[in-house]
Amino acid sequence: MLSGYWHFTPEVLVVCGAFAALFGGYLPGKDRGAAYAAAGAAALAAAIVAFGGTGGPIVFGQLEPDSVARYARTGLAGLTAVWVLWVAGRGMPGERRREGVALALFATAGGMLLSMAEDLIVMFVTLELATMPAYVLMGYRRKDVSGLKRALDYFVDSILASVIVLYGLSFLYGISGSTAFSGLELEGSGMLGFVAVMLTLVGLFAKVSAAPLRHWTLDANAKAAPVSLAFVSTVPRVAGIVVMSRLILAIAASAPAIGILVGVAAAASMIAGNCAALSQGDLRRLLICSGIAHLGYLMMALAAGTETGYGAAVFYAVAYAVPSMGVMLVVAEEGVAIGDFARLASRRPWVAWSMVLWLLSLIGIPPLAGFFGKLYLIGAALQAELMALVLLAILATLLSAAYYFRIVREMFFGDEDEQVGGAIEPSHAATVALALCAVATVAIGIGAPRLIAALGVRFG
Amino acid sequence: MAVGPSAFMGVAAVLFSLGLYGVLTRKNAVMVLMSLELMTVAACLNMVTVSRFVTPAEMTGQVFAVFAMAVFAAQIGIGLALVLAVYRQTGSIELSSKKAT
Amino acid sequence: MFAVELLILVPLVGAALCVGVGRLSARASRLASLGATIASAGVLAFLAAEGIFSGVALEGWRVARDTVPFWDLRIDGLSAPLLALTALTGLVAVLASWGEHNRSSVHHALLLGLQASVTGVFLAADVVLLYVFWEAVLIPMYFLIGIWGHENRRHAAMKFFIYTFAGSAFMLVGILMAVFGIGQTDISMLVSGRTALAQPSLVFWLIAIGMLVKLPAFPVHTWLPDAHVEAPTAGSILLAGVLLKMGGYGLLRLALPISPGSFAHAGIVFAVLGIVGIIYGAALALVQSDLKRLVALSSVSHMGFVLLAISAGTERGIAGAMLVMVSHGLVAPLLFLLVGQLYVRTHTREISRFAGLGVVTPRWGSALTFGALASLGLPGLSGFPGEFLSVIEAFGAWSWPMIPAMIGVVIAAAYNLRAVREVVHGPPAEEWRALRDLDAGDLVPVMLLVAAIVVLGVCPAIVLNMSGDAFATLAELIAGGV
Repeated sequence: MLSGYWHFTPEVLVVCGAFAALFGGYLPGKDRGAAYAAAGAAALAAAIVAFGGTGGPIVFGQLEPDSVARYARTGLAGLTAVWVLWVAGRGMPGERRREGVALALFATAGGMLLSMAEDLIVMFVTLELATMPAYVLMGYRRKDVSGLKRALDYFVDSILASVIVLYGLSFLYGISGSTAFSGLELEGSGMLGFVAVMLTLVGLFAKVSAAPLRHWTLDANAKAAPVSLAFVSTVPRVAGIVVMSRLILAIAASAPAIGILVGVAAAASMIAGNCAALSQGDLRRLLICSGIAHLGYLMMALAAGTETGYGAAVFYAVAYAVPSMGVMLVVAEEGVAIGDFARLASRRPWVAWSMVLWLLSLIGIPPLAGFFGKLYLIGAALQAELMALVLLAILATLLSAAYYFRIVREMFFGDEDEQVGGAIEPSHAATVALALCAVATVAIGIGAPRLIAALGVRFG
Repeated sequence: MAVGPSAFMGVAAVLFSLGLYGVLTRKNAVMVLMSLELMTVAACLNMVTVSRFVTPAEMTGQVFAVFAMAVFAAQIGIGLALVLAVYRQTGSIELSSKKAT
Repeated sequence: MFAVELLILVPLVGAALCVGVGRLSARASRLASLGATIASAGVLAFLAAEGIFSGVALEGWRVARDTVPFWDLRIDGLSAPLLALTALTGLVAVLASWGEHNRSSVHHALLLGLQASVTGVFLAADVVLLYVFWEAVLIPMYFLIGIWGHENRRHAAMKFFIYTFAGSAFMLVGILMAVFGIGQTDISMLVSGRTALAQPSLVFWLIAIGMLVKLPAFPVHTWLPDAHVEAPTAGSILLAGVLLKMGGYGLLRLALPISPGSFAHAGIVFAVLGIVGIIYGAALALVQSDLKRLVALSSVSHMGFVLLAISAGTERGIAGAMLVMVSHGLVAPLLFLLVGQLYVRTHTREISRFAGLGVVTPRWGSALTFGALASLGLPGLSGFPGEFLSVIEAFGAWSWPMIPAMIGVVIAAAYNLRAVREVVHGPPAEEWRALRDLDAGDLVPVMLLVAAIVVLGVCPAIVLNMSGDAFATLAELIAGGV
């Protein structure tokens, strides 16, 4: 029972990195040194998870470092390493960077634990640990009044979502008499079971910003610093998605009707996200809206309520987060208006081609990460014969190509006379961070069949 | 007359609804935080009730409630810090998302 | 065998080399791309010694499925002629963009990338791999049109992308339904296990939509004229030469074999779409004032013949479809190349502004006349055997309703001869008195295509031999139904 604590080595490393960043004033190079140390810790953690083994339930069965958790934890730690590396190179806007780095690492530790959660209590506590630092990161620019106010709004709405989840969890626990995922049993619970599932899912959907409760994320996030957004819209979200998938799979065993609920939310997210993204001129808003749509694709697989759908969804969570992190970091460098990207191809060709790579992956062009992600999502949905959702996802993907290509068009064929921005000072750390994102986007795509097999997904 | 679990859960539901009403209607940030706290309490009451009536041999529900309260104490800490930061900059603690009525 | 892989790898390495040496000089990257296309033609010539051009099927290098999943290459009778076509048009495209000065290293790299992906489509023996290459084709083409195109390039690039991406999205659903229904990704396994499919016609039409958009067939052809008119010359050459062939190839490789039973109702639809495409494309070409748009619309008309030939469902019909495809893959690039060379000199493509170029630029004039004659299907040139076969076979299958296809042939003669009369004949216009004729560098790609057109016209058996039993097998599948 108490063996297997070595599985926590990566989390401990990440927390150590966070402390190193907090007390970075004593390290050589101060802020920058602290950030490098933290990035190193996160990267090392990712490597340890990736090459370490998996195991059965540990700590009284409350956590399970299975293959899905291994994939998610590697992704989370890796994404954090990239983000921190970028911050080491470019800094946080207007403020000291080391608190931001420390907060991010705490959230990462929470997210990594969250993706192993097999128990409602652990899930709730780590979910909060993963998302709480986000509130601070969103309001990181202390002098930016409208940003702060938005952060407060975001905080209130997010806590509201947490409370609704908590209330729903109390019913789930009440009905099944157990807090373990494996002990959830809703058979014959009638109305009460419906209320429990409804509350939990609505709260969780809001936490990961899916339809129908997604409007506030948009309003609150649209004023945040892009660099904060790059973290908040990827790492805590991936962790949330992983645990949501786990919970839905656990519930679906005894309450298959949950599929309809998830399916409706998936359809709503695809439609709402894509339609909203079409008309956005602010890239932050565009990416957030499209993020909602991507969640819709992902929930399409969850609506299948099968192991396959679960594996495909977890795979897509990371396959989506990597390119979206890359795009967001470039937005943080270049500017949030779509016009800021005019002629990026002639100013910074390598960055522009990396952007193309990420955007193509987000659209779902092979052989990049996003393509295989969508392939498995659609496959899972087809197996469950959710033909309507599949067709909707295809149409939504077509629509998404239209707005993603607006960025490509601006970068390559934008007006020549439009003079934007000054030259951006070169930073090796930031360049490496972007390059890592680009390489990972291709690598996840190329390695997709093996990764998905490792996640235990079987097709055919 | 014995008081059954449904009575406790009913109280919890009333508390939750009151809290939700407060969150949705108040624009004073501190009032909203208090309403959120009320909703948390409702959830905790639910858990303790379940623990007492459904699984009396185990303490799972109580443990859950304790954890939830600890987490929420931390949450409210962050919330108040944000409120304070906003107050320092603007001199007001009203939530911007709600239009003045 | 590893040489099959080289067909894809050589252009890819060439593309990387182009970007790499592009920093040194534009000339170096041009030479690198020329070297890469010649090398891949060389690889194909080496494979010819293995007999791929006499109907022998050749497997790619076997790699374990779990090291490189889905990687499975194969050359057979269906793909061999198209591979040869790809190698030739790739070479022509590189030569045609020799004078490109705007970011020429990226331009050449994209051309090679395009060649690699199209080759991949024709080589893939695994349906997922085929789809990967199929989509990969879009990206270089999008940038070729968008960066190096003419005035309205942004719109055309977007339209090209959205249309073909939409088509392939439906195709993806069809492929996935087939893959999950049968539990295989290998195309030959899919075909042999096709009885397990629950809804074969749905799968067929989903896949066929993607192919029809690419071909392009009548109602979904509107992206083609725009893309062609705006694309740079090399882009047009590859677009007409090989990209359109992917549509016909996909129908023969994937859609029909997986669900031959659907042919019972699909045949008549193909016949109607084919005839409408033939007439409509030809009629529009007849009234064009832009020389490049005229050639583009004639492509729609020619692709109508491909559909018509397939609709017959016989061995000779399929052979006719392949002949039309290969012939069009030679003739259209020739015409686009000539129009491009004219545009470089005059910066206009308005037919009405030209006259008497046969006197001013005799070499260009005779090449255009030759191209027009090949396009209208003069016996002895490559256009004739394919169109003849397709009309005969369609007549055999559907009898008199095929009369309109004959009218299409007549209109084809009309628009081609009209173009030649207005541009080449008559008294030369004052404006272009001093026009430069084609020099030796320009003539190399022209002569390559001309030679191929003559050879194919005199001896269509070359293609028919290459294809070996592939057509017969397909026709048997179709005749067998289910």
